[in-house]
Amino acid sequence: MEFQTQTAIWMQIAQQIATRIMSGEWAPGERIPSVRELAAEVQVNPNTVVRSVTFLQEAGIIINQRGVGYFVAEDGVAKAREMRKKAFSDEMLPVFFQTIDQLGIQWDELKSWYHQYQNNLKQ
Amino acid sequence: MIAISGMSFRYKSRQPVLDNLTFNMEAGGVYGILGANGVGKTTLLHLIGGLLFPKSGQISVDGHAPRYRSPAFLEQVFYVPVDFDLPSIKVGVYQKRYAPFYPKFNPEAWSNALQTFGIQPDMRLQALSFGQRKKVLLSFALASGCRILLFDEPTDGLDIPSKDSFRRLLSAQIDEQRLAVITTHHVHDVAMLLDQLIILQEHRLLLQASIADLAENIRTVTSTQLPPEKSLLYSERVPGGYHCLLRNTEGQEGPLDLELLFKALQISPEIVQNTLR
Repeated sequence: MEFQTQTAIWMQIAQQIATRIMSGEWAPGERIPSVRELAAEVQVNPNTVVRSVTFLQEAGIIINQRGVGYFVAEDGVAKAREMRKKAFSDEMLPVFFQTIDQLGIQWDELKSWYHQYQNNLKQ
Repeated sequence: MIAISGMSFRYKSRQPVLDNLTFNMEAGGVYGILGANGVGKTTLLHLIGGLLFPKSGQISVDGHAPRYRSPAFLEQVFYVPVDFDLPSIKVGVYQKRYAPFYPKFNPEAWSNALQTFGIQPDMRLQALSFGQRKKVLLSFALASGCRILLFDEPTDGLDIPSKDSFRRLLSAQIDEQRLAVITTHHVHDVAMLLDQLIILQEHRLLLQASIADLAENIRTVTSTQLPPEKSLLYSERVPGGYHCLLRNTEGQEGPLDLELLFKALQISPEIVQNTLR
């Protein structure tokens, strides 16, 4: 059995906001765009984005200042990385492991591909 | 905001077009109405808008009976039909003539929507294509300030980039005071705007549910092999393998392809009873 599991839209949006925080698009202490702006950006129902920001708030990545908006937490970048790592291990790794088992790929083989990938980046 | 109770409608001496419908729609929601051709989707919008009257049962819209078409009702409801005629005047004149009927009309939102759609106020309506006229009417609806917006196939006739524009503009207009109702066969065009789903089948209500509740119970995956039978509700072949509708046993919410759900329910309506209730 092999699933290409994807995540719910609100979770994808949360991951995307976390990625943008990690990239420094919004610095710690800085206000992120409003729910309404974020919803229009990706053309979804604002209620969907409410779920995303609620999740990010519970994860301590952003902080709600009532009536003002959402701000990146002081340790928001580290927490965003933590969250992305968890999503990676929960969602992408099982599919990855399933595939390497199915194809009989060895660790050494993986290692050499990874080095090749890093070399390509340098060029 | 809309309360429908035991409502039926039929044209003269025919089988009912809508048979004993009962459901409510609440402010703040974006409702998608799905159903096969001829199942009564447009008729339902007409009953909400006061263009048709129920043969039996009740309908109340924002506290009004639509059949009386009171000014207080009409100024709060805007309906964008699938096909329509517009007067032979300029776009800007259309706004000047019709906006006074809508006290909350927002001229800024109107200009912004027109600009987004690439329509100039000095264009003549009779010289525009169907898609362009649709953009004018959608712009007017989105700027009307009405608390109830009814869209029949809103993306019909729109070119591909304009569908993006429509979604963006509608997303910006959704708020807690307002209700939007969208009927469509093009589910993918509007799926991400919906938070409530209504499916009509054989002139009756088959399903009403929030997208969030649905996603708790079912999910869709694309898989190279067919998943185990006990969780599988429906599947179809796609180039990568199988596109499947599954019972959501993991407790974790996944994506939900509404088009696949609709197809599944056309073939196996009992999924509603067995899995979604």
